[in-house]
Amino acid sequence: MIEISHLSKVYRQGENELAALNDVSLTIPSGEIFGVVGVSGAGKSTLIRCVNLLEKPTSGSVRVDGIEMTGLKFHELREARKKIGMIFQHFNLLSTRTVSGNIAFPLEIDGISKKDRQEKVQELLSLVGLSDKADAFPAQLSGGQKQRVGIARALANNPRLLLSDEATSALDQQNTSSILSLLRDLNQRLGLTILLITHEMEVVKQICDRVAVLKEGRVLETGKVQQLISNPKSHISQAFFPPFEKILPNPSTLQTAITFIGPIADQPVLSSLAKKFDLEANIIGGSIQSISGSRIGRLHVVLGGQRTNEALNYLRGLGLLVEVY
Amino acid sequence: MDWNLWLPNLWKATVETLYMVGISTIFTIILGLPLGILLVVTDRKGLLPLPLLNTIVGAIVNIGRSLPFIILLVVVIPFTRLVVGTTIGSTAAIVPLALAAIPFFARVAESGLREVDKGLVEAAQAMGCTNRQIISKVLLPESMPSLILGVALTIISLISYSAMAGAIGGGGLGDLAIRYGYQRFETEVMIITVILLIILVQGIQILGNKLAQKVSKK
Ligand SMILES: Nc1ncnc2c1ncn2[C@@H]1O[C@H](COP(=O)(O)OP(=O)(O)O)[C@@H](O)[C@H]1O
Ligand SMILES: [Mg+2]
Repeated sequence: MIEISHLSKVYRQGENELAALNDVSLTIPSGEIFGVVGVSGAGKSTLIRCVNLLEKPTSGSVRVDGIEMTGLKFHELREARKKIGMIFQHFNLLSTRTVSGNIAFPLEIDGISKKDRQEKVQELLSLVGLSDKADAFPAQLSGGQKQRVGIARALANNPRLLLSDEATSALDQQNTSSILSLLRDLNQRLGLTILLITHEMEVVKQICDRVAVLKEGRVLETGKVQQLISNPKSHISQAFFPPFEKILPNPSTLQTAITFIGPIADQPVLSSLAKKFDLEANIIGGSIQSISGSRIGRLHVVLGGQRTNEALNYLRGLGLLVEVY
Repeated sequence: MDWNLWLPNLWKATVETLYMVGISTIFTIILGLPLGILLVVTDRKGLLPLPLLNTIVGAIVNIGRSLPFIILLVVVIPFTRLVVGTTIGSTAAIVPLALAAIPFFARVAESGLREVDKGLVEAAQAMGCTNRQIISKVLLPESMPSLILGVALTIISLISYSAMAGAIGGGGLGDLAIRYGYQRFETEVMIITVILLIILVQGIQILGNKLAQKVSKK
């Protein structure tokens, strides 16, 4: 859906140059929810704004649905933008228009007749669950409701791609969850491709199929969330499971970090291990997380006994990831 | 004091003030608003950056604003003759009044338009709006409360300027107050005209506030 290659963006301020994006290459497959995560100032907004050319790239190419965005003339760009929805952290709704008026805005721009607009607005209102708020003004809505209006507006022209710039960052936990499930739902029902940027790992964890980690304008790593998370060396995994501290060295024990993925996380692996190899298995830390519906756990375990090496091989045989400190 | 004699005078002066201020307000909005839009749009960070044009227009506006009204009144006499065919009377006063208020209102409109959240413009661009659509469907409606208050402010300034229109025979309430109250020591006349002016100014301000509040949905 989106093909970004060797994209760079340099901001000039007098003598100073700031490379907000540095040779970024990413492929965002159709129908997926792709997250770009990074701390504030990493270049996330710049990246997403380069996709619909709100920001003009300094060099590199951005293809959306096969169309090279950087090569478009101004009126072509406007047409291309109508097919790309966008939602924002601060919603950016027109305060003087009602909910319906806001949702109708892109249709008006596109010269759709009033009757067709009304029909489409009704459909979008029910899609985002706001049919009872049609005549309210944005100031009368909660943050979560405002973002629903933003989403409805972004979908008015039936885009196949939605860009989301920190869409849940101004929302509380509950609204964040409900907006994220709405996005997931739209992704599945409409086959909508979503490129979302966020500084919150929670968002990645809840809905992203694939993720790229951005730091200082560069992509540190990218891949499927599940795969990255099960690799203890990845940034994503380390963000969810902070590395364990090494505790007091005791030559007769073995410090391990064991990563469980999927159904095995629910089984009593450790207790059976202790029995089987006559070990002491002491859990000194860890957590289990639910990521895109599947469970991944990582435990910090100290093993004591004669047959620890055998035990480790046994665990690896079960498909667990075992690291020894 | 002979009320029968000067009540008609008071009435005439009120009508003259309303006429001068009303017509010059209309011209001020028609010409000042586009100027304000131009200043915002051609700004370095605007929709259509044209720094040179922006600087030139900005400079002209500043010159217009720095000229004391009483001087402007005299300086523009040739231009007034060209436009309305006469250089004295209420109609002639409209030209300098509008010329003084246009740059004033342009700046007021400019600052109102600048208050519109950048994010709204960006959202509109992301939806594929033309610049013209952004101006008419985003900038103007969203800044309407500020613009209405700006118009009220401009009308009040025009009422105050119009007091000097007597200098070119424009008449009006201010002129009446000076001629009777100051030059003939008829203090009551002065007081009554001043009260009328205060009521007028208060009325405009209240009306402006009400209207701005009604338009604002924030
Ligand atoms: N218009 C701009 N002019 C100059 N520098 C900018 C501009 N926009 C962003 N930057 C800089 O580029 C870097 C990346 O910004 P941004 O993409 O907004 O980061 P993020 O969205 O990840 O917080 C920051 O250092 C920021 O200060
Ligand atoms: Mg940002």
